[in-house]
Amino acid sequence: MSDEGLDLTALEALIFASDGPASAASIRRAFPDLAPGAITPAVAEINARLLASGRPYEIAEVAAGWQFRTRPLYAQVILAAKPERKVRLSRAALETLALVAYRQPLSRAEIEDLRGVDCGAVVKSLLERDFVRIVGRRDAPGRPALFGTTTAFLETFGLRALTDLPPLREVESLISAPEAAGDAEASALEPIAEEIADEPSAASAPADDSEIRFH
Amino acid sequence: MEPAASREEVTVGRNSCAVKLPAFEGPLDLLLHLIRANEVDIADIPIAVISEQYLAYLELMRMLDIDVAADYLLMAATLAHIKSRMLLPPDPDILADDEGADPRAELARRLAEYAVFKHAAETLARRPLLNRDVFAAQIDASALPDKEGVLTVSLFGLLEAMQGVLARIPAAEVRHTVSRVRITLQQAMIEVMDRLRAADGATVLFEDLFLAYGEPTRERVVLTFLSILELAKIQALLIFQNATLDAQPTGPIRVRLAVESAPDEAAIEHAAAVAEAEFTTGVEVDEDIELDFDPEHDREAGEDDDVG
Repeated sequence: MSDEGLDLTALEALIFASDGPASAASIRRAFPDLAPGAITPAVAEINARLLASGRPYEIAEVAAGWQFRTRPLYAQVILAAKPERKVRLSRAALETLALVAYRQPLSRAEIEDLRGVDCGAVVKSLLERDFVRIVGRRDAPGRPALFGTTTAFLETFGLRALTDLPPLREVESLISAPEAAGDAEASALEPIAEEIADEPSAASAPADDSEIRFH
Repeated sequence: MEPAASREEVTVGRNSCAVKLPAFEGPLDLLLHLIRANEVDIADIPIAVISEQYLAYLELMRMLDIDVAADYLLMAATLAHIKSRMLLPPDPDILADDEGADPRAELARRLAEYAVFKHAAETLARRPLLNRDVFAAQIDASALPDKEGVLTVSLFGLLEAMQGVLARIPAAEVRHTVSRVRITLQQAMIEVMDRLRAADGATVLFEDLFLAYGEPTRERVVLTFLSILELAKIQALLIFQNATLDAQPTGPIRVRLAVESAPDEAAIEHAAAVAEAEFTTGVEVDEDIELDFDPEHDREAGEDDDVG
């Protein structure tokens, strides 16, 4: 429907049988005449049909590819059958991962400076679990390893690419300031806020303070 | 949070595992919690109040036998330092400078930055996570046709591929120049590992491992080949090749990182040292012997030696 020549059922079969997110390149190998940008509307069309027929899964666009994934509604029943499948991320792991994701490439010392705690164990665990990898070494004494995120990170967090990361929130919207801070101290903070926030304060909703914990 | 008053309660509670303390991810997290609990501005922290509560929390941790990490103590010292600087009259020379004017500025900057990433982590965690909220079909890797380990490459296949790489080197100078090794085996091994890591778990063509490093000189190719063999020996990488139905190896040789047993740099260094000692002496070296091996020395010696 979205593309004249594209067999949606065949595309669905291709993505279904792929052993990871099916890349645009692999889809193009199967459909050489595909117009650029035709995959996304085609997948949307397949997803609309899946939803209409009440299927418990859909095609998600992750890590520069397309993959069948169950809908969140069925997490409980899947985990009940195989509890060991559940991905476990401690808060330390999440914070470190967030830092690496937004600030890569960066060294362990930089991670520790930002988090204020020793991060050796958590970085090692993230390396072992293939969420981060060594992307290079800084040309500095000791040649410290620089870390970056992996494809597995994108797949786990359902991101198409690193550019898909949610924009960082501004500090002002995260910390409850009792009154409008117009004094000298506040102005000292502004340059930092500009540097770390990608988005103008469009989202000025109060920060959600509820803590997320997984164990 | 009055330590003296809550002491007994805490002790009793601990024995019955009833005490529930919010877990903090470090001193910055604890400070952020105190700032929010006191509803104060991050840029205008009442240092006296906050550091008092901070120390009280540390005392509580100590009573609960929670290991107070050095990071927490360092922050306590920082707070005390800021507090003492706040008591001093402002230095007129640095008053003009915004950053230097307030001793709390650096702490406020770190807290602000930490708050941003803490929130980013929470936002990421709320996404539908693979293997927590959403699930993809699992494929049994052992069912895939090119299962590694079973279909290993033949020695002849490897040598053939090596010949292919060597054949591509322009056979220019047949002059017999004696050149020293410009890179060490250890460096070559690390380069191969870096190349495989960059592939992010995917396989890399055997031939491609030789293309990555500038002009392919014979010594460079030999070193890279040795690196691959040495890394295979310590099981840092896997070498494999498809097979025909009658189990004849066919197609290109592929290499990838062995996920299960990623060696650290010390293991690579050790393997390289052992191998280099073997090559130079021509004798099998007992791996337990401490080796006097200095890659730095070799490299420096090679650098000032130009062949052309």
